[in-house]
Amino acid sequence: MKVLGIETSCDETGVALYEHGRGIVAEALASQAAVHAQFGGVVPELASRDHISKLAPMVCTVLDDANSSLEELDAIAYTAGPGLIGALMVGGALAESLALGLGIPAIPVHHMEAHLLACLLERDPPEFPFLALLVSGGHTQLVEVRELGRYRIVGETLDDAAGEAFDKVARLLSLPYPGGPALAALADGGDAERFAFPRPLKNRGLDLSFSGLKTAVRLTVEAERKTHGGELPDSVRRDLAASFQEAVVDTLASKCVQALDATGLSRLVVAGGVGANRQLRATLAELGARGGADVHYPRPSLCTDNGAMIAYAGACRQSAEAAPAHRIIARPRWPLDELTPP
Amino acid sequence: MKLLAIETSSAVGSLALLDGDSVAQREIATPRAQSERVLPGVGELLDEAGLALGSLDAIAFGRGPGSFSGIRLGAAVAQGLALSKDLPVIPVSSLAAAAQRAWREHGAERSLVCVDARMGEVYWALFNIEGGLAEHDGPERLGAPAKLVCPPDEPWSAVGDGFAEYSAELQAPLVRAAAVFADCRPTARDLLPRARRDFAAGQFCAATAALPVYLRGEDAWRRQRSN
Repeated sequence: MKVLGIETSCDETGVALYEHGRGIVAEALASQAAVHAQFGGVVPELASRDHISKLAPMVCTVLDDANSSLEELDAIAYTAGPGLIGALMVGGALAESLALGLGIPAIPVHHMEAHLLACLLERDPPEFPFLALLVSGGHTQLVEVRELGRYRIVGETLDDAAGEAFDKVARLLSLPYPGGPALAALADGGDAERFAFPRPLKNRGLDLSFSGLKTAVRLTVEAERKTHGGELPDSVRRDLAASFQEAVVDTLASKCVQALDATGLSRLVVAGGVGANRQLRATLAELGARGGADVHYPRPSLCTDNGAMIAYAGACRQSAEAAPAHRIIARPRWPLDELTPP
Repeated sequence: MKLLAIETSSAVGSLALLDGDSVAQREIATPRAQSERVLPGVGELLDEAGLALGSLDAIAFGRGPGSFSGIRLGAAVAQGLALSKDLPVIPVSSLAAAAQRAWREHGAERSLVCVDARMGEVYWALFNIEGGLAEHDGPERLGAPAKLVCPPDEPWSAVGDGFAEYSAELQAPLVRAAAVFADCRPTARDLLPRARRDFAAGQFCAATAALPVYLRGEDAWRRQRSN
């Protein structure tokens, strides 16, 4: 069975072809970082424009690369939410109309479920049940995954998502968009202990909070500016970045330990864009090595938004009796725990 | 000739199916319904006509200017349907479709089409009917209503919702217009004459190249940000 996956929920256009028994056969990804960099953040209208100009050519490229064709497809999966409404609409409209023309089902996929399942595409996939740490620019959640479609959110951020905090602090340090990777690069070689930033809600349940941490960084940045006569020396910027990153990673790791404890689960899966952060991966791997859990994280390209995870999630949810309704679905807000098993 | 036309640039969308000389049309009432109803509507039109998508010669869509999400929806649906059956796509100006309709319904031979573009601006263009077809008389423009230039001489009709939204700013042109058809929106049926002519003349594009025409460029967001 061949399933084409289409991802257009935010600022990356992703297309991939998944085949049962073979895995991901071909994929393509187009980042819009250059489009949005000049604005310091994602401009929704420009994201939608970029998606529609790139998506259809990418579908053709992926099928060519796979030596396949539209006629060979069994289904088309697309991100139906959560995400930017206009961006979602482009992928949904193309996927649903292609499916109508080809006479095959279109499968609306929950973006975060696709992130959760991405690690199953790796060679040594974890078995159900597991605890998932979903961390991205829009989400920070701890999810108990019993099986496909049975999810319980056991903890989540009360304010900013971890990736959002990375982006905001990156802006404080005058780093270019997208801030997360730039901040991680700056933190390399910095002294993570120079600034003692708070670990919010550390011993208070499984929920997280990052806005207080962000404020603490801002106040420190302002104080350091004053001390150094306006401009922050590079060494201070590096140390600020490293100390901030350490605070986030430390918070996430300790919440993971608490959540494993609370749920009695022994496997931990890391998913979402911030899951590509090297410091986070190293810290969680160390935690696993100490016997705390069996830790899985997909390769970085499967952590950030991509078409492969959509194709795969679609294949997992594809059932023979699904009747094609041809209704384009775009849900900007869509709680993960509303999902049910297929 | 068999053509499917999709027009979703305004608040009221529509679909039309041309089969030889007969035209079937379907209206989709609200912007929200457009995304939900457009594909089932396509299926129903084809079923009622007893036609298969693959038997069509081409797919036409209203390429704008108009509602950004609307024209993207039309473009994406045209792309997907055309790609699935390897059909060509014919992008048609949504302003020209409004002029075409004003001629079909009211006999307007010369139309100044002006459509609300939000952000305090309008899209406009001037059209003449030649051989039953709305032909551009000058480029399509975007700007403040105050910048709209009245056509000299000859009687002309004021067409489009821009004349209702900005009736105060457009008082001068409205006074000079021979007739006003502010509720004359583009429809899918009115894309067909141009699409027919373009197809016969070999003027169409591949599905992957069928894109909306926004008129408003990235600069607008740069300006918005610096304000």
